Amino acid sequence: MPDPHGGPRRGRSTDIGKREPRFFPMRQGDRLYVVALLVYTAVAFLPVFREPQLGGISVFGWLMAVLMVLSPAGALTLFVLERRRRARSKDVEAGP
Amino acid sequence: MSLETILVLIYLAICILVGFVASRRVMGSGDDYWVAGRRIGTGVNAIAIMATLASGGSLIGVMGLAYKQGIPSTLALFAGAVVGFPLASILVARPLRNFGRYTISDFLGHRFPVRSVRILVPLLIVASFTAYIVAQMKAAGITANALLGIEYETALTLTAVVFIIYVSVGGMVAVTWTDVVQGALMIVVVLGTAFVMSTRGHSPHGLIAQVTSVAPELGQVVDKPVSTYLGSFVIWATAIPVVPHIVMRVFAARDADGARMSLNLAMVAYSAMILASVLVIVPVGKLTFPDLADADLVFLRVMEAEFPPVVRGIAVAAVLAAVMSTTDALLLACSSAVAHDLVGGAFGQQLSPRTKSVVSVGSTWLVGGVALIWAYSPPELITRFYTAAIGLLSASLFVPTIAGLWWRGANRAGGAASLWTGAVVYLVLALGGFDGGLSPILIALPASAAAMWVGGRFGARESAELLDEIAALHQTPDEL
Repeated sequence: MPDPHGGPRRGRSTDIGKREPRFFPMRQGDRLYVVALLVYTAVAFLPVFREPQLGGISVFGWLMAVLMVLSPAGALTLFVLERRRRARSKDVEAGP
Repeated sequence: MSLETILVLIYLAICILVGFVASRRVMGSGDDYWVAGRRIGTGVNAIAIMATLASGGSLIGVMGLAYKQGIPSTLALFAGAVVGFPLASILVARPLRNFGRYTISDFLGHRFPVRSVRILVPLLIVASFTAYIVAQMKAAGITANALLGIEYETALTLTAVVFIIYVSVGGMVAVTWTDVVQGALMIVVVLGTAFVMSTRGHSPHGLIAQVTSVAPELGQVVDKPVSTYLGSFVIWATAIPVVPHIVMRVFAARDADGARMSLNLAMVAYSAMILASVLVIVPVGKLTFPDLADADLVFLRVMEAEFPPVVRGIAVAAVLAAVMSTTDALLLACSSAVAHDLVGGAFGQQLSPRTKSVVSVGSTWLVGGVALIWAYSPPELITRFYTAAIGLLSASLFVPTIAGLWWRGANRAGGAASLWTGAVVYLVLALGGFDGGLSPILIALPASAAAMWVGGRFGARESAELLDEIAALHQTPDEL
């Protein structure tokens, strides 16, 4: 079937021998952060953390509280680091 | 007239004044009306985003929920919203801000240029947000009734008319200015209350130990399956990156970096507010008022017991601020869905600037009026009602938006299929009272993703030009 929108068909590539990536690129730090967030969440929701308590609160509750502190802190740190890296590479390009 | 009532009336008058001052700046162009000319600075946008998300549910509801159902399950619900912010910051902030239009419908209609997408997205937004607005209006009416002694209908009409006026005449500028005042008020009242409690010998650690020794149920996970908590968590985590009233704030930022930074800062403020409420104010409330019949009143009872009338008046204004800061943004998003997405987008009407203004103001009054009439006799299960409304948007918009931004294989067949599948599966399960041990969102989201994959696998691929355009949206300011 011809492609009505004029784009290349799935599996083909505009550069012969070079396969087009399936996703638009994400920065490595962002990718690791999202994966870490998903893994943490999956672990935190395991039923095993419902019953045990720490200081009167279920471990599941503490894991959620920690998530509410770590996820903002991590995202903010990542963003600040990315901006610094960009600023440094700008300085290098500009030269002394 | 009590001091509390006078303070609240002054606050409402200021909101209207802000609307009329802002109206001088916004009536000329869509950029000004819908996204405040894209001139909102990072700090201001951060407070406005926080205020937009933090509704009456995040102030009154969070404490009532923790008091009634315990701290762990409450934190699970609100941690979903907190996690939603980094997801929004990483997954949508830069590309959507670089896209540079007004609404989420603009992006989805451009990425998946199918007529049904252009029509369904604004209709889903209007339906979900009208339900959400009804819930917020009811919260405002109940609060004013309980604390100021004003009749429910009168309080409802007064607050609704105030925010309809300032949204309709002042657009995003008025919403932002009032949201900043409202957000600051909420932060000061909640963190200030928690701070004062701590200085009165109630350290969070000591408080939790003390309260769980007399009321151990506060620290336990109530007897519900984990999937129930996971469902609420997932609804909010996936809603934040796509709900229109947050996305419009991304479009209103000065640039992509500003959009990301403001989302991150908003997340810090929101998280601090929720943790202070749940870990300090609720334990004090539980110790002081162990047998409240209406758990939602715990915050207001603590304010009554611990503070003088002036502070109580400010606290009532903060509750109304929480309600209004969310409702005004919801109303503006509904108005944009009708005037911009449907009339100007899906139906392709070329309107003069003056007619556009009339349609924008008219749609704000129409949606606000319908919600007001509905709120005179609102449904009883209001929390379930509005969480279901947000769930509908998450189920239908999350996969198309994220796949549209990040997956090259996403095409118009997949986009339309995932949008429809998410919406229909969620509605059928939620309205049909599905009880299969899983929350409807945990079925609707995978179904939407599967529909996207099937459409992408078997449908025609999008043009190289469109994919290049999407690739350009991911560039940093230096790369642009």
